[in-house]
Amino acid sequence: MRLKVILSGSVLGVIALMAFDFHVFNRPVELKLPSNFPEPVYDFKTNPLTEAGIQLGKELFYDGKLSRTGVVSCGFCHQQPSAFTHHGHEVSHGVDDRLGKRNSLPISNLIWMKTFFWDGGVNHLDFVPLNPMENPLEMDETLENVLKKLNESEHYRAAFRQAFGVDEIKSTEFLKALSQFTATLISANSRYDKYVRNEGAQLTAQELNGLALFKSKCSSCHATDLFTDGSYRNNGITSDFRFDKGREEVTSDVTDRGKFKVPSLRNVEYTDPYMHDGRLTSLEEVLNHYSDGVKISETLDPLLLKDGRPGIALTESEKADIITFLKTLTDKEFLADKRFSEY
Amino acid sequence: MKVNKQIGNFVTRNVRVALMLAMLFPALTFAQNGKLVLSFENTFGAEPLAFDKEYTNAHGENLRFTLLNYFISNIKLTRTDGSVYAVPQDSCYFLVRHSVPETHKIELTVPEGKYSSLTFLIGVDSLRSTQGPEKRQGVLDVGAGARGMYWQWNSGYIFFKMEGKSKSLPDSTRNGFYYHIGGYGGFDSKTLNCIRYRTLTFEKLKVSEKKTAQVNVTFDASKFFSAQTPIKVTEKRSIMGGPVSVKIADNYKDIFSLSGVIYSRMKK
Repeated sequence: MRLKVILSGSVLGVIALMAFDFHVFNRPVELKLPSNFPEPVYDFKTNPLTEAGIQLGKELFYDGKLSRTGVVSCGFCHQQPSAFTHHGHEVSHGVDDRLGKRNSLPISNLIWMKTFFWDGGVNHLDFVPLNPMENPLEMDETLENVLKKLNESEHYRAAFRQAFGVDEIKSTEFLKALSQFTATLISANSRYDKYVRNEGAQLTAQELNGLALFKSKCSSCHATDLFTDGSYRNNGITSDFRFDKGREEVTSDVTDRGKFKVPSLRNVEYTDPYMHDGRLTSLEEVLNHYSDGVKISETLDPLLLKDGRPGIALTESEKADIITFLKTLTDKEFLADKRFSEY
Repeated sequence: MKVNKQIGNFVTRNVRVALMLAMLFPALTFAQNGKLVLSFENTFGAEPLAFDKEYTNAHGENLRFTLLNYFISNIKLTRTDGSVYAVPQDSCYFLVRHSVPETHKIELTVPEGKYSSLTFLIGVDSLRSTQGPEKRQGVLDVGAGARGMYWQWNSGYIFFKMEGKSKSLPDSTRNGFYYHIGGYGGFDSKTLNCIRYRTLTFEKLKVSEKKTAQVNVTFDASKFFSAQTPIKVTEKRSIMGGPVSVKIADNYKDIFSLSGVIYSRMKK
């Protein structure tokens, strides 16, 4: 009898060991979505988040293997302390010190975005990594070759097996792994958020005045608590489009000349330099641009041309108040969250 | 008595099921499939196109081709009674690469019947162009099958790609010409739309279980330069996006023509 128990016990044990497929132990993750945000755009049904998937995505995000030289990772131009942009770099800095033509965008709240990049050329979060990876001025690699490198790595093969239950790493799992990590980069715990969600935070009189001014003068483009309406507009930063036609490069429509995606303003205190070409270095310069520096061209946004006068009417003290308000969008938890950090 | 009733219930229930099955079955048992091959033959004039040959176009320009690829998708066949058979969406994407002869023939399993026309898209439809990677398998895989046929900065497939060299071009240009045509019409706002469907009509195409039907489609590259919008390599040697590409799409669409239907007995 005892032998029987031992036997059946060990049989069960063997079965349990055989069933010790890592995939089974990969726990699903449900993102906490901020109550002051709209419904996400990203369809998680096509890519259910898991602990192993997010961890793998993070590892890929910080791995130079994704570039031709093995040095330039996603995290190279998207650094957490700068809200995942490249502090101090006007335009993206790629392999062999090559320079792109646009300012690398900060990364946060991507699952609420319909299109990506300054010109909106990419229509799906999963396909975002392909753009910098294959751009000769950025990572100068091919997805095909990255997959080859990853498949040669025992470590990555095991990690993909655990996260997705696959033996061979293909485009689908690779792209979805990166989305799993970038989907978790949610910034929604700034002082402003805690104020609008009645979580105990207060704004000062100056910040509140800045918020009121922001709502009346800025929020038609920097709309909702995502602080962008996702549209493309010419904000008059230049009237010379010889080297960058903006959205027109995607649509081939001359009425899109010089239009760029309205960026979110979350963590804007830390995302300098500003504008698509990184030409402005401080928030003061940005506000001065909108009050006095708007350049007229055929596609200038009508909101920036009232009664033939370019720009937005702003006094010096109003600008100061708006900047004070913008700094309440700084999300210290996000900038230091260990779950997102390289080390 | 109770048992009898149960048996009775069992019988009636099963008779009902059997009747339903009988109604369904004719459709299942009598709709046989046959094999249909679409064979794409690239030519220059009357000759088969060869990458190691030099040609002269209608403008007297010298040409040698180094690459010719195009997507064929969304294949539909119209029966003589007007009804339509569409190849299932997930298996309707093909990429003809001139350098890979196996890709010139597209093998389809099609319901038996008489068909009067064939319609296909030269390129990839807008829906598929906005879906996630799980819907981009095979020739649509941006890290494998679709290599060289995708604009990663503009999230779209290159529908049609033709490249080559021309001695009529100055050496400073490395004598190269490049025509990359794509654009599915846009996601959140209108962009270039090079989606073009081509319909070819037959007198009669018979698909049956007994014989393989092969529809030969010719793409005559010489016509590319002399269609409704004439293209001179010396004037426009590089077209990659831009408004003119929609005219090029009109050009190449009409070049796909029917050159015949042949039947061969299925090998046992």
